[in-house]
Amino acid sequence: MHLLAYIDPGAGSLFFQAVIATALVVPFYLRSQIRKGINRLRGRPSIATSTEIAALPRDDDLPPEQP
Amino acid sequence: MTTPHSRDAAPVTRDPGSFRDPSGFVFRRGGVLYRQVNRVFADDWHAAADAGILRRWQESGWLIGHEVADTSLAADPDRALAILRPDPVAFVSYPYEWTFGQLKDAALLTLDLQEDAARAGFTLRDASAYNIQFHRGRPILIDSLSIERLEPAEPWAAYRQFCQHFVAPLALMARRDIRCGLMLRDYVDGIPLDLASTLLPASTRLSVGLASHLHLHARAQRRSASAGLSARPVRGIGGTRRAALLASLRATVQGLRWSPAGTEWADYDQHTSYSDEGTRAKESIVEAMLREVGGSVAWDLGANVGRFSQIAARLGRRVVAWDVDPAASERHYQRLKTSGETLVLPLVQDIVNPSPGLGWAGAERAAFVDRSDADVVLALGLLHHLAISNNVPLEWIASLFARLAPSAIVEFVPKDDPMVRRLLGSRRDVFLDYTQDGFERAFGTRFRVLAGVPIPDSGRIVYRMERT
Repeated sequence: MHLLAYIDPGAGSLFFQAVIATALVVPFYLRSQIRKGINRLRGRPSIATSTEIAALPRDDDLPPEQP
Repeated sequence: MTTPHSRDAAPVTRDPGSFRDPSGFVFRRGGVLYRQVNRVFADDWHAAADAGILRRWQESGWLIGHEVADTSLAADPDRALAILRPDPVAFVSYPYEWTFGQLKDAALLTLDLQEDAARAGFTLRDASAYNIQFHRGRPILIDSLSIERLEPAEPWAAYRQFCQHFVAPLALMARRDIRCGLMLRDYVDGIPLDLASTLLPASTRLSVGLASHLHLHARAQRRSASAGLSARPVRGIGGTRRAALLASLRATVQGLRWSPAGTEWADYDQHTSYSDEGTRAKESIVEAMLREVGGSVAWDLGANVGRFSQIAARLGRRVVAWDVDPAASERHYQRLKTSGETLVLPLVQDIVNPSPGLGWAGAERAAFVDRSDADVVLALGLLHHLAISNNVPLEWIASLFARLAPSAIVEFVPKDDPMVRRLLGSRRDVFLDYTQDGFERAFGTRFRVLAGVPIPDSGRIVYRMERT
């Protein structure tokens, strides 16, 4: 954590965040894949939402997207 | 707080609400607002500058603009890296004065900022609702130092704060009672999640977002506290997990809705006691008086949905429109968003029990009565509510108005008015001084009455007065 993390993140909140983010990632990933699939079926270009763009991994342990 | 040492003669006053963050603080020198960036923040500051993220946020209207000023202006020269001169926000308001829609828009902006920061390899260091102000009708981030480089797999340190400052109060306002927004007055770091969890209806546990970010989050905090856990490094929140968390928070906030109806004054504008002619005449009278008063700032007390605030704005006045009714203020805010009006800021405020000074030493958040820069106070359809519903003596009302502005436009509503008859319907009339003469006498202790114009088809009179 940064030296200047001046607010109290809360020990319980930090741990909970890791847990809930893990729980949320599967439906999030599935939703984004379903959205892309629907767009492909409709002949639309695959447009990522802002949160999906934000997900472009820096340190992701999920398998890479299949082309 | 005034510090004696400075490099020029202008006195330096540190903002009493800007002290928690070691990376910098806000101060005034000679009345001009500055933000000092401290050397300890150098690496993150230079990284943000190199990435251009702050400039992009300013261009997007997400971050208040600033100019870089000379470091000789520093309030604490030994620690200063840079000095910024931010664009001043016209009026500082606080989350406990915001409507539901304003708080929700502030929450969504915070998420926009965090998502954009993550894309660029940064993160918001905090997610305080006090980092947001309403500027030209829109929420805007005012803390240019609220950003730092993102470390790999690092959790969002401000997640708890976001849930307490935004998710909890929005959930309480939407799902329990709109008046719960006032709880932010008592909890300056946001509503504790365990309290919100206790107060919310059981049905909120069926919402994935509220169950996660509020109820389970509260339980995790309780368990952590009872187990005596100290903060230890947590890893494993990479890009996709981070995005999933933010997407869930966004969906949770967007899913919280409140319909501004059902309160006492939500529909008042459609059910007044005026005839159509009386309404038009009142508007003309008020507009003419506003022209005569001049000035640039008006405070509209009891603004309801802003009919008369709009008149002041059309004349180029910046208006702060206060009303005790959260539904009326919310309808006002939604209408302004739709119209794109930038001069009017609607806020929720009970004039009888206004926002006090809060926070450290009672000075971190300024009191309602200390924030007025108004040239004129509008008090239309308000006086009888203060004097009769709340038993406030007319002289005391005059004193408050005189404290707020040098001029006042006040509507006297006589006892035979249907609205006053309704107020007195179930109580004894103990208001012996509440007469036109009594009003003029009481206000004459603080003001000089310049004009009194009757409204046709009603016994009401609109007065223009000037503070003595």
